[in-house]
Amino acid sequence: MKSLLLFFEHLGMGTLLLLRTLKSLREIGKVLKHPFWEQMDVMFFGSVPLVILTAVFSGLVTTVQIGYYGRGYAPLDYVGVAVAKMVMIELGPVLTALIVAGRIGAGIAAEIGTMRVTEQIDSLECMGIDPVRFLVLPRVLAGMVILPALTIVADLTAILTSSIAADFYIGVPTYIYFHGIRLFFAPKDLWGGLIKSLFFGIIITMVGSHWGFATEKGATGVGKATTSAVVTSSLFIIFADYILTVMIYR
Amino acid sequence: MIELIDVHKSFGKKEVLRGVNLKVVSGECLVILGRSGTGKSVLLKHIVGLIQPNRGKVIVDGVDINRISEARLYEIRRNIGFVFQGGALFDSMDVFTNVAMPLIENEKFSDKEIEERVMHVLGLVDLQDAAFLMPSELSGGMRKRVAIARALVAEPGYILYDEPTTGLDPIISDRINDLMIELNSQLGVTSVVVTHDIHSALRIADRIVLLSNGVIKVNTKRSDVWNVDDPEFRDFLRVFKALKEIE
Ligand SMILES: Nc1ncnc2c1ncn2[C@@H]1O[C@H](COP(=O)(O)OP(=O)(O)O)[C@@H](O)[C@H]1O
Ligand SMILES: [Mg+2]
Repeated sequence: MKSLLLFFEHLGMGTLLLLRTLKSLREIGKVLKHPFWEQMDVMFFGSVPLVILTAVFSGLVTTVQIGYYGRGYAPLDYVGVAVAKMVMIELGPVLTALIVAGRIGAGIAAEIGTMRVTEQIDSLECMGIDPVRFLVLPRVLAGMVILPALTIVADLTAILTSSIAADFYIGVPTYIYFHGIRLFFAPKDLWGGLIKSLFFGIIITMVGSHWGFATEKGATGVGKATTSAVVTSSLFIIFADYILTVMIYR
Repeated sequence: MIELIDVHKSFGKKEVLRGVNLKVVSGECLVILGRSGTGKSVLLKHIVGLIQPNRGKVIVDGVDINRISEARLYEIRRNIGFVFQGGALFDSMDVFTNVAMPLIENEKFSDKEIEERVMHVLGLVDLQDAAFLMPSELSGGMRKRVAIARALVAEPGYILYDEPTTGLDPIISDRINDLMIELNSQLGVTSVVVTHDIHSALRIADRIVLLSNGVIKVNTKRSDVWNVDDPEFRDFLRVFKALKEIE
């Protein structure tokens, strides 16, 4: 009962924060000058190595698995299409988002949470600076650009790795692999995944910001906020993935 | 003028302020004395609308700050400098940028004006050489002085200090006291200082009030403090006298 109340309290606070962020779009000019680029830089280059590493292994695993499922039933020449579609529609956006939630989301919660408990946020308000515009807006905007960008990196990496693995593990030559992709690729495969990742970007940055603002004073406050940020955004990502998949692909 | 009228504030079941009535007259230095945890910070944050009262009014320059738009509130806040207890410096920015923040965001200043003003206030707090250090490289006293410089830079009519001398060694404390006196008398800034440091209170105050059990219990001119017969207030004075005797 108590945790249900807490859930709705945070949902309410989070919604309010989202509305305040939308309202702060009025002052978008101030954000685009500097803080936005700084966030883009931090988020993108901070995450690229992890994203590539994850993509390499998911490319390898899916290829081997599809080789295993398809053996004897389906012509393995089409392993490329199968992997590419899985990667672009689902694995690329979702795995990237989950990885990034652990990094960027937790980072945002820790940073804003520390600012909350050391009264830096109060201090912004006292200077007449809207902390939502100053802290949340640049992060959300950057998240909306960075997540699709990282997803493209992940898609390319996974498909490239997979094409090599297909040759190595199941004897499908690279040109056949890509020929299959060309034959059956639908633009929707790509943009559908990217739209997903755009929403994941909003989720990760908004949830991280919310927990930052909700951080309570005390030694464990910031730690709790980061954990909550990762858990909550992971759940929201998986839930949103379902909704978006139904909306786009059904 | 700042006026608090019958301000009540509770957090959950905990009543912190139970009807605070207080006037701060322009130009004066008012000290709010009180034990730790009595709600001094809570009171101070009411003046800038960081905390809203459950009941009662906060009036700044004739305006009830809890009944105006956010935009107007931000305008009023720009005329109030707030020195937070821990300094609340932005960790990710150097001293110069920290102090410049209130000006950078207020777009009417050119880069050159900003630089002049920032270096001027850093000079007032004797920290011109520290302009390009990061907050993590500063000592406690330096952080407080940077916070004071930042509160000053937009030339506000009011400065609110939350325990400016707490946690500093007595020598640095005295420098901060001198600084507050100077700003009050030379720049004519109206000052509200929250503290439990009686030594500092007696040095800087024009008027001292005692916050106790959620109300203002004592309200006295500096010159009349020795005539107050409130027992808690006298306890504070006793600490001061004991210090004097040791000296
Ligand atoms: N945001 C808050 N939420 C809940 N309780 C608070 C909050 N701010 C202050 N309090 C409580 O109010 C009381 C007074 O706090 P404070 O004003 O910080 O005391 P001090 O006089 O030492 O500055 C404390 O018991 C504190 O726990
Ligand atoms: Mg306090």
